[in-house]
Amino acid sequence: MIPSNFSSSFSRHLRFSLLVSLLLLVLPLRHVNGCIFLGDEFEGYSFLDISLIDDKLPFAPYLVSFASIANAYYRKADLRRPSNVEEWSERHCRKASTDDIAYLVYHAPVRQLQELKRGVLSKKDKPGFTLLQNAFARFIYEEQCLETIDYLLFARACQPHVVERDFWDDTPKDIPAMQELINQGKALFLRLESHYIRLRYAYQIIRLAHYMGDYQQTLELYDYLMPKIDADPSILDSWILGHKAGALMGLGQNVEASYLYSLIFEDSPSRRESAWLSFRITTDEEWEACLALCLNDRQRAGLHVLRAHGTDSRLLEEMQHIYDLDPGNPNLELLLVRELQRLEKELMSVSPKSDRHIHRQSPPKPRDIAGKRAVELLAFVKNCSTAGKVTQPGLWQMAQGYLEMLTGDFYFAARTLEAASGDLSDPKLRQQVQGLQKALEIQQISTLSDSLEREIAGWYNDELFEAFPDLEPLLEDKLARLYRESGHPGKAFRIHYPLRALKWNPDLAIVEDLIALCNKDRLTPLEKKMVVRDDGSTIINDLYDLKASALLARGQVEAARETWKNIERSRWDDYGAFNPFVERLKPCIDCPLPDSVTTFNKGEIMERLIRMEYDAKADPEQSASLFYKLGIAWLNMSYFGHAWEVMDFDRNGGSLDWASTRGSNIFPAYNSPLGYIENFDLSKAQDFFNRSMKLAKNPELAARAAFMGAFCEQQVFYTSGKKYPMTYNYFEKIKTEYRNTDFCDYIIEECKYFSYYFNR
Amino acid sequence: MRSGGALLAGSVMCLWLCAAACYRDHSTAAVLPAVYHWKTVFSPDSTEQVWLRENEMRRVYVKFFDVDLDAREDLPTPRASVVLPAQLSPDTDYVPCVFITNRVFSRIGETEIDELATRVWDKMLRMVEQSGALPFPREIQIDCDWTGSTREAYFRFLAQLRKNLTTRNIQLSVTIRLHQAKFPEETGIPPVDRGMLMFYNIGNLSDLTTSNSILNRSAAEQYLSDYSNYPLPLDLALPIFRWGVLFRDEKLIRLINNLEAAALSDTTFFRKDAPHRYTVQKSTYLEGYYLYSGDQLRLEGIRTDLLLDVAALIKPRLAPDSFHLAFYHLDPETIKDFPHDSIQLLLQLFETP
Repeated sequence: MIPSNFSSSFSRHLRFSLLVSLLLLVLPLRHVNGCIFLGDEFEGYSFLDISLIDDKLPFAPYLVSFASIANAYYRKADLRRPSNVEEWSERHCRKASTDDIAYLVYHAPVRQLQELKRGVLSKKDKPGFTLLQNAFARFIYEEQCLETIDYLLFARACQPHVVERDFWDDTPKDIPAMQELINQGKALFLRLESHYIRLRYAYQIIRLAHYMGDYQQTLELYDYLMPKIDADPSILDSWILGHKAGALMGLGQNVEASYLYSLIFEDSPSRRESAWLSFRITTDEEWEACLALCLNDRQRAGLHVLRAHGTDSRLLEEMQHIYDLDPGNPNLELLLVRELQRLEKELMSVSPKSDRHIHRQSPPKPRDIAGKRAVELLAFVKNCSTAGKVTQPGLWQMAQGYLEMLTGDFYFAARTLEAASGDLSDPKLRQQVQGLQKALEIQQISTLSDSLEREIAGWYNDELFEAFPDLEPLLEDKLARLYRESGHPGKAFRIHYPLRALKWNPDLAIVEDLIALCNKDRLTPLEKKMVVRDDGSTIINDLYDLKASALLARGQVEAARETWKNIERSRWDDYGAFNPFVERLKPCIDCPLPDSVTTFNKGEIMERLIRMEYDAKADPEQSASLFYKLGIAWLNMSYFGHAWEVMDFDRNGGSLDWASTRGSNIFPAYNSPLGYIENFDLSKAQDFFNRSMKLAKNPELAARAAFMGAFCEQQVFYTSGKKYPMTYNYFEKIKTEYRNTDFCDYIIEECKYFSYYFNR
Repeated sequence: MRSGGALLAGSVMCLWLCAAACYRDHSTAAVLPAVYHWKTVFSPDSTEQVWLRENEMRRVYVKFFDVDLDAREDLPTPRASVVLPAQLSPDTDYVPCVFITNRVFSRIGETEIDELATRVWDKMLRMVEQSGALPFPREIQIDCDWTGSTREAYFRFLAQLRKNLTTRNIQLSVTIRLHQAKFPEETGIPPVDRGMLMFYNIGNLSDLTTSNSILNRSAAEQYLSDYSNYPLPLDLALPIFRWGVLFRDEKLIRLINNLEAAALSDTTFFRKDAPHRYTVQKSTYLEGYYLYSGDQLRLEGIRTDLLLDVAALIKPRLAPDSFHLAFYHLDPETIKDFPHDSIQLLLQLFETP
């Protein structure tokens, strides 16, 4: 009833990422209605190489997302089995493979273990061939390891009582049976010769008592059994200690328990996560008491390390405590990198919910609190860098330089990183510093010149760009900003987006800038990437096509034709052939034109449109007919006609539905800041139909023009977002003025919509 | 014309009769006090027992367990089962409740849904039987904040569960959030016998500037709708709990249940910035959680006058039927702020025609 879980887990994030990937595969390239920016997972730049951290450190595997430690713990396979098998192997001089050991310890049926025991007890009862194929079984048989086989049988008897049960299973534990096993185990324990096998019995017995919930007996067994064992250090030591800690926790002695968990955490990789999860201190007094139990400052620092890895811990405070107690503690570097990652997310990042297009136009302002945290961390890091007590001084110096960069102090950042690069023997750290220096260099670019652009083009081949993949978006975002500021919107656009993204909604300022670029004498390599094809030709004709089509879509026919004339006439056919003058009373976008129809390229269409309008104005006899044909042409070239490609490059069938609720003809696209446009504007077509209707002497033509005008009237209503009541001006005109025409009879038959209106 | 007039007269008569009937029902509609128990050990202490008795709480909604996805297998798994007492007041009606996370229904398939319904019912039944103290339930309740994407699965689960209950004459109820009650055409009507309208947690919890996310009049006004039109009979749940909302670096970190101002009175550790708002001056443990210097706390709770104020807004919008007025939730810390007089004032407000 109360919201209790605010943190999103790693697995959920992973699933979300997978979902996003799937959506990207499934959704059309540019139209992602309703979740338009879902595909872009850009979250900012990161320049930290986390492999700098010693991966043997307890928390190293969780550096990226330690907040999900519990989830990771439950999701991963049980670590205990492989380490247990490894120890069996080691204690038996690696006479058997781990697979053979795992089979006998965990999977072999009890009858096989008993068969093996009979063989050990009596040479006459040799185990079967199949069993002796197992090297561990053969070893036990040949070495007469009766204690081992007895132990394996005992462990198997304990297993049903200690394995994880189905959570829906409410049947109570069989406490008497568990107690009986404890009693049996204790009796056997005292007779054992091998101290290693004693340790294993102790583990089984103590675990049974813990799982019974008999915490007092657990502690008593621990105190009774453990002093009687004189074995080499084993993974079981921590496992047994974990059960003792669990019993202490059960008895409310969480301080003592937490102290033990901190030891287990440090010593036992296989129990690390569970120890971290079980560590529980709830008051200042308990914390002090736990510190008091620690034998040295390393252990005390360890408590702070555990607390530091809480989901939302304030790392700087914990690092300061750790540093004061144990400046050489290797976890300090890990925590430092983790805090740098957190700050990177704040200071070099956009919110995941923001879209990258917006970020590119105007980067979000980081939260003040993040800047404050960076400054505080910088002061601490400087102190640690200079005091000379930390394990990896080079890493601290690198961190100092990076923090100076994050806080905008580029001068000191450059100086610090330069100093850090001087005496680094660790190649990883050296590369890290170089990566930061490159990031800094990019951020410091303030003006662009052709010579600088030539230099920058070479950076793409730099191995640093491979090692730090975010250098590339950092550079390109920076270049885009500088291009924009210096009046080159085309270059700013092309550094991020392909030409086809411009076609979806042509921005004439961008097109003009790119045309100018195509005409530039000596292009830099970056500019070539923007406007030169692999065969050495430029994209200038595509840009003229784009511009002319956009101008035509805006109704500027003469300007469109003038633009188009920049393309050599011999290449006019490269951009498609259409016939917008074909009349279709029933609009059909995808229906092919009859073979008999002559088609025209865009240039010819523009010329024809201009000539027809001139003729219509000049010759009163033809004007009504020509205005009607012009209306048909403009209707067909719009979103609603079969010749829509004359004025547009892509068309989405779903746009009309969306437009009916949005009332706009520009729609967001996930991979273009310009979105995509649909040519819904029918004003020119409607105007020509009106003129035709007005001038027509033939009522049949007037009726046709009115009917097409009605189509325009209806589409305008839908695409405007239904902001006003639907009108039927043209239907009414046909009904009242042209009701006696053949065409009226025809559409009453063919158009149910009109028929309904006419007869109501 | 004559027949039209007769029809009109008939309609007017019909409306008048309906109005009269509704009025009569309203005057006799009973408000039955109840309370939620949402902790893992159900063992009312003497304070709670006195409070229950004094306020004639004859119904307790007891959360039996949660169901969430198991982290390892991604399967629906029961969690936090309640420990039930050996003895209970025999004249009280106990309604077993199960909280199911919404994500459960976003993951499971159709056959798993049916299996889950059976498992949930079986477990509830076993818990009732094993307790020995609980009478056989007359109603059970499911709590899930379903969404449009999980509606189909959740409703299938409810329908399946209801099949098991109908044969035993047990009613099935569900909790209904305010947005679900306000937009039933979008969120759907669960296939159950009753709904419990949860009139709390209505503000933006994670916003540092929110005054009281549990309940505040202006947010309540935005959510109000005509509940008498809701297609299910509704009971009403009102909050009587309090908590502290912890922010670190201006981000919501956690809730601290039952936190009150007295726990923040030590000025060595806490500075009061404004009414109900504090800053941690020195890092310290509080209610089991480690707070760092600079953390911010917002105390949220409910006063009787606020509850009466909001209740007065709700009342005219309720159907004129008998209903349970359930308080969330039973805890020695929360009930001390709502003594007998406060509860009676609220009951009277709803009972007065």
